[in-house]
Amino acid sequence: MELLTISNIGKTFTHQARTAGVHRVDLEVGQGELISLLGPSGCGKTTTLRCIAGLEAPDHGRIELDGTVLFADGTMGSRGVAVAPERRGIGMVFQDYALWPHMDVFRNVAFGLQGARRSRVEVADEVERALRSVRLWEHRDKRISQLSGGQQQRVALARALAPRPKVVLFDEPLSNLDTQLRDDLRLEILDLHRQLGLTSIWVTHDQEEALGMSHRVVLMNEGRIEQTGRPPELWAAPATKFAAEFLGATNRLSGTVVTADDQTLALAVDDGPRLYLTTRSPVAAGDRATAFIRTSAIKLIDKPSAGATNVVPAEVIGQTFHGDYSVVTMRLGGTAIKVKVDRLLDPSAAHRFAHLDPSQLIVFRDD
Amino acid sequence: MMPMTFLVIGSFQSAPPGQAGTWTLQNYDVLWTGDFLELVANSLALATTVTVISLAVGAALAIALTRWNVPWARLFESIAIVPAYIPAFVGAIAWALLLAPRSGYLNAPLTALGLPPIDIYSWGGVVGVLSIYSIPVVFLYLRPALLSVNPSMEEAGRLLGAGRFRVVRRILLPAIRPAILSSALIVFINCLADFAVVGVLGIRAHIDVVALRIVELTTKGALDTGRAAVLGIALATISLLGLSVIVRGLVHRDLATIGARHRMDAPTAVRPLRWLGLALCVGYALIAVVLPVAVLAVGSLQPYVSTTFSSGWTLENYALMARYPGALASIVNSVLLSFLAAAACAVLSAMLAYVVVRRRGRLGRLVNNLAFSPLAVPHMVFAVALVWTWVSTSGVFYGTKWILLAAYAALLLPYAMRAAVTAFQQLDPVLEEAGRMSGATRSRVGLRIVVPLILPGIVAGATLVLYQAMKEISASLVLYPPGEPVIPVAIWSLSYQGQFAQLFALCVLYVALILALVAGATALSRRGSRL
Repeated sequence: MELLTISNIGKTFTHQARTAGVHRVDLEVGQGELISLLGPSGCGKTTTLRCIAGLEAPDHGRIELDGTVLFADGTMGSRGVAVAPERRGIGMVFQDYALWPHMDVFRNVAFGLQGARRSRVEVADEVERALRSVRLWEHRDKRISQLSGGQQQRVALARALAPRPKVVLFDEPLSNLDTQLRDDLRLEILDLHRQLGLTSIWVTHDQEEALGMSHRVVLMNEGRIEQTGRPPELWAAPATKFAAEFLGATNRLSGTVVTADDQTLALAVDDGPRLYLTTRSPVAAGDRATAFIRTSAIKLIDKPSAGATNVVPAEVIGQTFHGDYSVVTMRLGGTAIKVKVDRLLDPSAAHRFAHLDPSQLIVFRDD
Repeated sequence: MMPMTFLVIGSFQSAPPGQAGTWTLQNYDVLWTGDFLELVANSLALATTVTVISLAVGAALAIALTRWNVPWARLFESIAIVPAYIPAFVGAIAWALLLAPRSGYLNAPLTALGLPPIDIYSWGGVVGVLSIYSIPVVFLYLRPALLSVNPSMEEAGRLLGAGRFRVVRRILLPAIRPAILSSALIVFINCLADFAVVGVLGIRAHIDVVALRIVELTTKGALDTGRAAVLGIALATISLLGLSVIVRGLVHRDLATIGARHRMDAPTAVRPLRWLGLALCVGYALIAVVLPVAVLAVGSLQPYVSTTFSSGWTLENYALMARYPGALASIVNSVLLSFLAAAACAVLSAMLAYVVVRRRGRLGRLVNNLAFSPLAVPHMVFAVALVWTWVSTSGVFYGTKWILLAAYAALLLPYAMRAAVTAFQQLDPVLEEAGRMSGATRSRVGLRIVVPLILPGIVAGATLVLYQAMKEISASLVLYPPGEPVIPVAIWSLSYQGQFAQLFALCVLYVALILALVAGATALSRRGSRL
């Protein structure tokens, strides 16, 4: 049962060149789902979120929540609908917390409860419940400036959850925190999501965050949805060049397709070797195409065994040390590729062989 | 804008406002008969000299206090602002007392030392006093600008081999160019509009300027509002010329990119500069605040002015002053009107600034330009224009003190606007959005989130309006209704009549009142922002 339905949302900004517009975005979110809008900055993910929140009015399209129309354009003879943000029953956690500095923690959380006709006792109870759920009840009398960044974001979370919204929107809520804190808070939010049975939409540019916590990921680029799917699906089968590169398949090899039948797919890399792929792609022999592969899907081998496929000579031209792993840059024919290895290479051995896993190569026809 | 239109109409009328007149060009005879050109030349020379001097000293003060690690810099920062609270014409009266050729308190020791006495009743005197009280304007504009310039820009200059003074000249001054030009504009226009300092110190030296002539034409027995309007237009034209020169300077340069405020942890301490800066600050504090206030206090406690202090001390002057018709009323009026003007400007500026900041676009720019335009109009020109407007329309308030309130609110709105616009710019719109997302309506968000957060800025702006209104003399003198003076008007007439005993007493009360109001308002807003 879908809780939130977004159809054909579009929004262009005429005078603010820096704000990303969106074009024909469709999205359905089920009850209890956690879904991520993932993409680089300027891809329209925040604009989409703000349209759902009611902070931005789309140029066209329709948004429905739990059977109620929140937004509908005025075309096709019907009168337009635009429910005010405060009446949508949606909560939001902002990137830079957006806590009110002139109120203490308690009042920040209580603010959203005082509008509806509730008694003081009821409000206090709800605030306590919300603040306890983020373990900040002891800090209720503190001023916002006395809290750390992580605590501030937890207050913002409590504030958004206190009125029990039908949907909670998260606008890059962890991006201002350092790594350790980010991981902790991410787990905490996941826990809350499960316990309270929330329905959440999470905006982020961090693929690890999106893949690690959401039921479904919506990958966006230049105002459009590139691909939607469960994280493992997205990881295994990016649908577009953008999806492949954004999800970490950063090595790109251009070439010409030489064979493309039911059994074999082979690509002759420009100025380089012939590669075999076991993945499927709608390409035909003779097409110009680009193959993508992750740095972790390439293995370095000292001597090739006889008859191995996709083992090609490669020259090491540099490496960078990252602690747990190193990244080796190699020349493969005319292209430079990067390979992730688990220890530093002996710099004297410049010539190696690279094995490119045929099941991890993805190819797309060039336009 | 409307008052200015009526001013132009009025300049073509043969009769004073309110009376039937015919269209005529005869008022324009002031332009070629008599000494018009001399008046304009005097006005321009005075305004230019004062602008240059106060820019130089103000910039030096600001740089010393933000860059040279002067001892007790915080104390001197507050002292450097105090002269802004002292009306220039009160300063002129005080300096006349200090440096009158024969009876000045400072000239007595000078002649005793065999030095020639200094004559304050001269061009030098007028320029000096006007400069002293224009310096805080420059200082107030330059200090925040200097603080916002990233010191690493200067450090980079030093590392590239530029000397300390070359860095100031080539890097620091260009970076704060907008603030320099804005403060220059305000000083220039204020000086053009000044008649009081010239009136106190310049008359004996036969110095006359356009502004003083306008006052004579509108307040003396023979009212000649038509000719006053012509002179007002002339003065406004000169101001606009100055404005356009400066605006061109503002627009046609790429402004240096200045980051957010940088904390100046430790300004580099250079001994000779530190002490030079200290001397500058002490000297300025003495000249602008300590000496004038002290001499007025002394003068007000003596039965008659005497440099030998032989006549003893008395409070009689204050009693005389209290009996002077209009003196007490003027105190009540000044305080009442200033508070009301401050309140009106606070409310107006908050609403207008919201439009300017949140609805950028064309409407925002229009409101912005309109709200700031009074800065470019000399106060008394506006007042003359207001007389024409009020009489030509229905004129309900004409002849009552409320016309003063209208003038104060209109003229001082830009000061409140600056503060309000800044307050709104610092208010992240996301705080309002968070309120909406928490289920609050637009009006509840405004009341519970926006108002509390901008209040400190609005109060600061209102404080500025409060003491500017207390100090306002140009428009007041043109507009005050009979029998309802404000303090500056009462001081002006006491000074004109030579009632020195009451004059000094009122001056002392006046300065004390302004300082008390400012101190009270500052304490109030401090407490408010700490909440």
